[in-house]
Amino acid sequence: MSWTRRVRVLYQGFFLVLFLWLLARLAAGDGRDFPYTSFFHIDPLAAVGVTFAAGTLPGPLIWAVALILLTIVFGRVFCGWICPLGTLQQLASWLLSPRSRRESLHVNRYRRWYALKTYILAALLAAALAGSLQTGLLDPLALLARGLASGLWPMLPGGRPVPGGWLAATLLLAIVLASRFIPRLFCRAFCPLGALLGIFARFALFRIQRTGEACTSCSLCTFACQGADEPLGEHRVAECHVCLNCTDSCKEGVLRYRFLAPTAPAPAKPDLSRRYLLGSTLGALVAAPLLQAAGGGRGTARAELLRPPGALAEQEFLQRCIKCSLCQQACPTNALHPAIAVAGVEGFWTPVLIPRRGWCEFACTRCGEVCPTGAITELTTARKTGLDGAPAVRIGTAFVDHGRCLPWAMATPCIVCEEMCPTSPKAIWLEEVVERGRDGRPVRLQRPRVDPQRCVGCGICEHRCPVGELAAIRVSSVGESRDPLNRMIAAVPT
Amino acid sequence: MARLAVHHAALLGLLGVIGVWVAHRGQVTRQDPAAVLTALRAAQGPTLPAAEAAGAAARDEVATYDAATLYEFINGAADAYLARGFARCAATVYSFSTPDGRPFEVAAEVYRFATAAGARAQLEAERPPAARPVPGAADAWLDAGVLLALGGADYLKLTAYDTGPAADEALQRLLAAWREGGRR
Amino acid sequence: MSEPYDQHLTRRDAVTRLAAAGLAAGAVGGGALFFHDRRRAEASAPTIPDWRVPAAPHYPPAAVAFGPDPAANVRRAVAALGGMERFVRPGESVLIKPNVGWDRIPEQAANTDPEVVAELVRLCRAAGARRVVVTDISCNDPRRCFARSGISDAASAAGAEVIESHRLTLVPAALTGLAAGLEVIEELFKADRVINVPVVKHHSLSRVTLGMKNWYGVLGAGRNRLHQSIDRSIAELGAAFRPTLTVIDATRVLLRSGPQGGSLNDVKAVNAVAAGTDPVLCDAWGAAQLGHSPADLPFLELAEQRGLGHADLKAVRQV
Repeated sequence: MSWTRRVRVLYQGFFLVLFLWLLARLAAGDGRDFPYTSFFHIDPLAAVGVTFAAGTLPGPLIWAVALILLTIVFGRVFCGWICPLGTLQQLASWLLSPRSRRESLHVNRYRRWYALKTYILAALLAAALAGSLQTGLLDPLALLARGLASGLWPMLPGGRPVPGGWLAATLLLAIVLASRFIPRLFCRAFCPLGALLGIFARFALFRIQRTGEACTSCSLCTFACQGADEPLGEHRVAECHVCLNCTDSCKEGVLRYRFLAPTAPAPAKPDLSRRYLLGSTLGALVAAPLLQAAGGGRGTARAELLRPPGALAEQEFLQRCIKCSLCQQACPTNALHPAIAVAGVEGFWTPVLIPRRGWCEFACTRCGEVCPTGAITELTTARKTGLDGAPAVRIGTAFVDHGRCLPWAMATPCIVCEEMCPTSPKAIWLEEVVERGRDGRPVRLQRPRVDPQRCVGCGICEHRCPVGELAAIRVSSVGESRDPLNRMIAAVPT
Repeated sequence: MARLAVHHAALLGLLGVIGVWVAHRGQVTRQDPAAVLTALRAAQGPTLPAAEAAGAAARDEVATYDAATLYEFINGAADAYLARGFARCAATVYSFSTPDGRPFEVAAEVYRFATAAGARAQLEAERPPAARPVPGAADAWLDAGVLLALGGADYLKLTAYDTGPAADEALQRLLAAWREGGRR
Repeated sequence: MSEPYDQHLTRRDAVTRLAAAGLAAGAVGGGALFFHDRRRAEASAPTIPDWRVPAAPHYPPAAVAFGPDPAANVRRAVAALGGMERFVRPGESVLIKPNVGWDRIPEQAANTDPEVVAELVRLCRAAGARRVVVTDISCNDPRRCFARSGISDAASAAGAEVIESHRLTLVPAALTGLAAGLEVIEELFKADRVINVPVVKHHSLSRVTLGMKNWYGVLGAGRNRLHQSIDRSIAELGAAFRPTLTVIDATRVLLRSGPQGGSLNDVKAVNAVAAGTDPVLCDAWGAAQLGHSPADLPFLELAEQRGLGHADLKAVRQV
């Protein structure tokens, strides 16, 4: 194996291990300031998607420009050297399916339907322009993070359950296992990030060059080609992952990776069908507004849609959330989960807070710290808890169910909710009464009452309420800071 | 096996740089209890030092007033304070004794305003022209048994019911103790 | 296998390739820098304009006309204040804000009398207004409210542009106090003059609903929270919205079961129209038609404290 290949493999291994390790550290609640979100900061699909959908490029995502510039100079090196999902697929392909030379030749052929990833990209970007950001569904980094968070981490010892996580895990598994049949099939045919980088790779200054008459058509170059970009024929630079396996394999030394290598002549039949491209774009431009109007996500506030503290108003939120699941992993109390139906079709896999599964720790601001696109803004503890004098950040309000609450309905003392309430002064106050129990004896009860001006909706009351899975005190989204229309109490004059 | 070329070494070096950077980031922890403590203290309101810290024999219980109750404390003068953004104040009386055993008292009041500018404006309005700056302390003036000082949005007013060097010294010790407490 | 590529890259090709790559890089970099942290320019919410005309001490702060013909009452009352020419200049755009809140017919006295509204439209047009808009945000279905109140037909016939609630655009505004954060109708910002035309009605919470409470009808979602401190909110709205003219429709008044009423037993025909530049005085006069004195009404007292006017009923000139 040449040094070039060694270095490339080292890069792939390094970034895969780094990605997995960072994610594991994040989920473990590591207190150190590791760069957990760096992979997403350099993600051009997220950067372009958010810019199209929200009209702004959030601060740290500007690093994605560096990756695009790198692609303009060197080609799709991200795919061949960095992308952890690509590396995983390659590992799977190598482990699961030792192939003969003939089989390799067959699976590494370029197929015209690999243009599908470009149509997918067009549809996603069109939908983003129409205001609906869905790039996160197929973004390889988000896919991998989500699949691990939803599937793998819950299975490990100490793992926390993620309801509905089997979907994301299955998708990841299917992608990885598909490489048993065609190596890196996702990268070649479905990955919108690959398609986006492929667009810029067309300008690449460094590319594979086939020089001289010495080529014997031995096809050694194609056996190990990752991108299925036909190094033997007209090299498709937009498909090439710059794995440099071909330059390595060529015994005649005909293939080289060179600066300003002459380009191949344009292929006789264009890779992209204009019809399909237009079709997918127009389809997305119709589908996005349809989802927004009828998909159940936007419009009026929904009682059970509790968003993380610091989340933007729903429209802006949906324009930025790339469903990467970092917030869910960073949340120390397992409060955040991927939405399945509660946020509508558009909000699929966006984070929602389920108090029965986990409450929002009062002084914790982890979710906003790790959100790469600013869909959840970063708060300080002083801001979130209102120590700076301005009102605390609220995600909802708690309501007592008098029919289920023990002191209200069952003549049984309790007050766990009041005990757990973290605000100062407490948002839950107690009203003392003396009731007669069934046996006629007096029972002194303290009945919980919620002060809507103080309640931040953190949900620890609901979480700790002893009354089964339908708690006797439940949080709904009314009163959330991020939506001035989702209120019930008139503004307090100051 | 081909040889290790310059660009290979450079690429490996780049990988090393990335690894070092990641490790370097791990040196810092994200939690910042100091920031929270500062915010908690600020939310608590202005404070006055304990008697021992100020070198006093004793200290009365600290009374607090806010915008609604300031009238009870300083009557008509409250209007000016409120106009400048008064938020809360704490007041107490310290007991000192002179070297020859004579006891005297110092009334201490600290007023917190919405902005540092408001605090400064209040001090300027009350500072007698004859007041001279306290040596070795910024934003502090002393005149005939009265010491006025600033600390952020807090305005400190000390009044000694005695004059003379012992009183002046007590005032400055109180000032130092108050400033020290704010820094903690 | 295809032909090997041409070995020799011409200088021109090289320059073209480099230029193309450079342009692509420039476009990406430029685009990124342009969009980087670019918040959409948040237009700060505009303050509500002040639509009043300069004070003229030789005219009374309010005038009232009694008579069987509502339109004539309007003419006489407005004439006593100096005529509509004092309030509307030629070429101005006028917004008339009646009460079109309820799905009721005029005899039920839940909405402003259509003839009063129509006459105001006519007067404005006669004074040279280029555009007269009549609108309100109804509580019941707006199409039914505008139709059954008779206001849609009457005002259109008089030459007004009637805009039903569901066609209105709402925009943010710099409101303070209890109404902070609520949106208002965009038409307010397009009008040079605004005439507030409430009808006199009983209200369970504030006791009466008149001119200052009529501003609820220009507010968007969230106005259903203002009832939590209703007197204060009425005074705050009275301070925020300063109309050119307040016209109190007392053709018929609703004595009970307000603000919707329903039964004719709750309606009394007073056959009067009052107009004035002092909204507190106008409201005090309207309340007097229901038997309330100004001291009965906390919102009047709050409004007076804010300097919005004087509830001195003797200052109302009868014509």
